[in-house]
Amino acid sequence: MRKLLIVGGCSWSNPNEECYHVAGIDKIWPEMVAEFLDMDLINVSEGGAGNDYIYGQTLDAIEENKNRDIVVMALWSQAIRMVPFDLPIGQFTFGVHTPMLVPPIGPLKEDIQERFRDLFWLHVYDQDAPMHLQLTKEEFWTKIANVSLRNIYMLDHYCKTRDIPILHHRALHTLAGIEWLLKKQINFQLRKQVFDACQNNQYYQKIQKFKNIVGHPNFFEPGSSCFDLYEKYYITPQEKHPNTQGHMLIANSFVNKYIELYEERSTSEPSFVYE
Amino acid sequence: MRKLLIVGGDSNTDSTYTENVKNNIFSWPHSVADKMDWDLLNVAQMGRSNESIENRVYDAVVENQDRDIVVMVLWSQSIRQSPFDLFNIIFTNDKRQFNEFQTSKFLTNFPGMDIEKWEDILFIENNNLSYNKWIETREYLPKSADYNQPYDLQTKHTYILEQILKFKFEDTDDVYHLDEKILHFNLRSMRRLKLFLDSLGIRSIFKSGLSVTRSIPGMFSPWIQDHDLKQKTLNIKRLNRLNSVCKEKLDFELSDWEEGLIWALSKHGHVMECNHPTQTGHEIIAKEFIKCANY
Repeated sequence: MRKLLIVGGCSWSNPNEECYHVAGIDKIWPEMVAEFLDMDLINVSEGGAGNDYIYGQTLDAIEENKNRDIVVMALWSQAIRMVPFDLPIGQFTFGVHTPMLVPPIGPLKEDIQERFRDLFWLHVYDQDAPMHLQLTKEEFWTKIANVSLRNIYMLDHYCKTRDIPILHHRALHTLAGIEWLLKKQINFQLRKQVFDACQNNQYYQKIQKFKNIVGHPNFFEPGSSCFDLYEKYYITPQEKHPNTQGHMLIANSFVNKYIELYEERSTSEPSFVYE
Repeated sequence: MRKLLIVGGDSNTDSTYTENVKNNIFSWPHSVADKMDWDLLNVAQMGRSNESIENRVYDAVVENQDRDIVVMVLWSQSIRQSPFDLFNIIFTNDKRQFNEFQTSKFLTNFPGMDIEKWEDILFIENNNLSYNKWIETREYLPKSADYNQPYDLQTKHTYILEQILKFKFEDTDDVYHLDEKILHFNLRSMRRLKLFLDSLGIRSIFKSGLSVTRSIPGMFSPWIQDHDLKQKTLNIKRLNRLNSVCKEKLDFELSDWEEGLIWALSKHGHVMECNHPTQTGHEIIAKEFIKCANY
């Protein structure tokens, strides 16, 4: 029986994103991988998805197909996203680059995000806050990161304890942007502080030991996400999602790692013909 | 080595819950740990959603993987959310959920607040209502909230979920679909925690403190009214349907999911005015857990 490939991710993995239709891109990396490896495909990716959504939906898909021979590939997103109750179009992304969202829900979402941002800020900076609610900014950053890092670790643990091959890559750096929750501003110095603060997290340390990472072996290496790596292959400089070549690169990286880790090695010797 | 009991839950398990502290009540995990002579790590906190309860138990188990662990969880309602495990939101339109005691406590914290309009959502944090008082000072929080003019975070958050649902689900069948989605989201948290603990060979006992299904139909009532449906009849139908779906989907041991253990205690007068267990109530819960643990 053919293997079943289950893919979880955000807009970088969702073929139904508007930007791909507009650019005439009819095939993106999950389909390319499935075709190359001759597998069936279930793709649970959703634009704007957070890692909680990716973890939950991927797990659901695995549980619903327990009778199949499954392979899982996850292209993780940023820790700052959330999707309450996994509801359709319920994503909050807290991005600073997010384009104007469409009324009537879009502006409302943005407004709610601002209110959330204010609440996050209060947790750290309000001197009048009840003592037991006050966090240092390092504690706050680590708390946000912890949710996503736990999701990544738990999906990995679930698959490994069931002998399900799983590969992890990141569309966006998981920890990048956590600083935006307190201040909606690009600040690379602050981002470095976030990265440093998260290093003591128990899941961070476990993920660093993963051998099934696509791309740079350190999952948290700055500049190792697809977003960072494939700038030349954006649809346009404004539309920062991969074009067809970009998707081919992502697909290739997954396929290579899959072959390296999970396919049988050749037992024959190379033959050389010189005449 | 002594066993380590890790306990998850909401205010019905949280030993630091205000009313427990005020009335010198020791919550049920203390009794279990005492009787079994186990160490105790109680990660329950007031207001937590089921997803957050799951997460807090994960963290505690992973941090203590070198110990001989037993896990007990008293799960909460399905209509709660804890964004980034930071604070808790409870969605409810059910006025019956506010008893006299809670109403007076609410008005003490929010003098002059129009409770009729406000109670569609209650925002609580950790040990007491101080968080409400704290955020009340924010300029965007009005003295009353209104669904049609959603000013504040809480109401807006509810409002947007309704907008999303309105957009996505148009008829009664879709209400059922939405109900199942909320139910599934909660059952998944319980189930995957169970699977995780099983994979580590850790014994776990789960019970429902509050009904898994009952609160869900009250979650989006204004939207139902918009569609000119007979809310009460529909809500009963929704609850019946949810109960049968839950019965069908539940493939792990979760006693009291339909009514909740606290409801059973309240029938026998073992809850305080705030609807949380008395000391006797906590002892009964402890006995139930020990009985299930077969020790």
